[in-house]
Amino acid sequence: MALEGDRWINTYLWIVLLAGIVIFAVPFIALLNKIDFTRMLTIMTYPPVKASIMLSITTAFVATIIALLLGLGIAYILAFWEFPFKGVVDTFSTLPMVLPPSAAGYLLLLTFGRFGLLGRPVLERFGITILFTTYAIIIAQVFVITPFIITSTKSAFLDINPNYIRAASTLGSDPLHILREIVLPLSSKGIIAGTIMAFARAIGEFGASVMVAGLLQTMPIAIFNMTMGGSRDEANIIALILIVISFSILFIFKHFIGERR
Amino acid sequence: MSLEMRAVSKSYDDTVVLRDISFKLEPGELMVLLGPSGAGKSKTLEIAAGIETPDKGVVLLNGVDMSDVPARKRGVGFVFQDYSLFPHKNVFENIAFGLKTRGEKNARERVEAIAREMQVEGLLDRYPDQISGGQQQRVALARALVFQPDLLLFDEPLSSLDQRVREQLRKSLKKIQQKHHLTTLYVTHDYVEAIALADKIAILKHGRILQTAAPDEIFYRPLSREVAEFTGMTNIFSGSVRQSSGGSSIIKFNDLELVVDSALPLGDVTVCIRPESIMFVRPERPSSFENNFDGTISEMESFGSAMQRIGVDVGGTMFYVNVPNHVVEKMKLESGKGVKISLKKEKIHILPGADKE
Repeated sequence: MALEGDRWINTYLWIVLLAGIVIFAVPFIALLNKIDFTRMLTIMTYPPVKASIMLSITTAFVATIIALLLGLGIAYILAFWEFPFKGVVDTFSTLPMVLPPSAAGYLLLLTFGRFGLLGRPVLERFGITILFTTYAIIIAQVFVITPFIITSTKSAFLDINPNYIRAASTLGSDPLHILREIVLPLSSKGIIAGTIMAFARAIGEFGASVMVAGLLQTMPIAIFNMTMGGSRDEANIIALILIVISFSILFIFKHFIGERR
Repeated sequence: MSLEMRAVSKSYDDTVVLRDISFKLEPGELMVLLGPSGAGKSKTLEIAAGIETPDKGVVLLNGVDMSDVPARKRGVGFVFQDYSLFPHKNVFENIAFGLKTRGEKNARERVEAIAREMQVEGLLDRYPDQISGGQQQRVALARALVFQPDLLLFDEPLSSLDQRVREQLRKSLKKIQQKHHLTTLYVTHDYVEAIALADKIAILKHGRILQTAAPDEIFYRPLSREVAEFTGMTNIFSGSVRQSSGGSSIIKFNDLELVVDSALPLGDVTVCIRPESIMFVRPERPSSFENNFDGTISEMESFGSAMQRIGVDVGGTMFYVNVPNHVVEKMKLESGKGVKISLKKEKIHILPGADKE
């Protein structure tokens, strides 16, 4: 670009650069400064720390798979079906992306809680407990992350030239074959991108899960509890692990988006 | 294979796209659906292919009702205007697609054979975005032909190609169609392409077939002014029959008189003269044709690569004449020059009534 010639623009850019460093880099330095690396491995094997890592990874993994199954179908319906109030449904399906997570968690309490809409009449009758279990955490994560998959998959579907599908059917393809040979390959980039983002979001999910997790702790919940409870060393390590995971996922995501044909 | 449509209609919401479309295509015949954009040409093809379903009417292949047969089971080859090659598959995989779905053995041999015929055998490893538009359309044609369909459908396959490639491809297309004796329905809005290819032409406008006939019939004897205008009939005049006797009539229009070769009832008529039917004659020579006019060249325009379209002003009435370039040179035709034009009475087509568009 050729905007650097201007003195005012240059000044602005330098200020922004410095501010950026203060806002984004200093907190990481602050964390690294606090971490006692000699005790890192020991802390990681503390039962509550270890449990939170395992819980986060398993719930995020399961939630992402469920969100993928849900998201692909919903994206297909939103992309290709015509029905009344489609615009409203479309907006609703992406609402969890902007809804405060604590509000989402609260909605889940109202649904699955003891006095919730499904609590007594359905769940209790069949002896199912959801609230304050791993299931609740998974549901909370699914609720928050599915829109990421819906949005990116839907636009990937809509990007496919409909003539490809028509051509395939005149060439003898049945719907399943078209899905496998044409639709999925041509939208894979969007689907994978959405899935990666969804997984990253699930790992970091706090607001919704904390409302329904009870005594269970995912990594973000553990950071909160440990900070409040004064176990700073543990909180530091978990924060570091989360940062490493998030950064890796984003890095893979960007690499993937940039490189694939 | 024969293709027949009987009273096919299709609407979307309140818009009627096709009304009562009926035609029959005999085995090995090539019919062109000719019409302006939005006439319903593509929709007709899609219904024939089974990609779309008609609201009313039936499609018959070899006399069998196809209403419950989905596109994938019709065995129809479809070539799209935008080629629609699968971008994530290479040329080989694209051509082989229709063989794979049918579980054909020796796909490789057959793909290679058709690729040779379509002159794309050197491109089998390339991806669609690595080859030219003309090559892409050859590949699309190979993909549609490789499983030996009984019916081929073309949706403006040449319209996004440049002139030179278009003419080449048109020739190879016609050759292959005749060689394999393929029943073909071909959609275009270009009447020059229609004449070059068609055994039979159907003129489609506003979702309705206006006329179905052999090219000569359509071009020289259109059934209506609408058809005439669409097929490049440049000289259409409203006039009236003044005299009629002994197998010929005299028609007066503007201030001119024309002799035509049939006895017509007196009254208003529409006169249609094709631009190729009018001749320039040297003023000093007597003309052997019945109708001769003196005029002045007032417009000249290139028409295709080897023709000129010349506007001749005859006392206020404009006649448009298509003349090959070599004639233009030989007769030194140029703007402002006084000329004599001549017209055989058999070449004049008369429609009853003097309706103006």
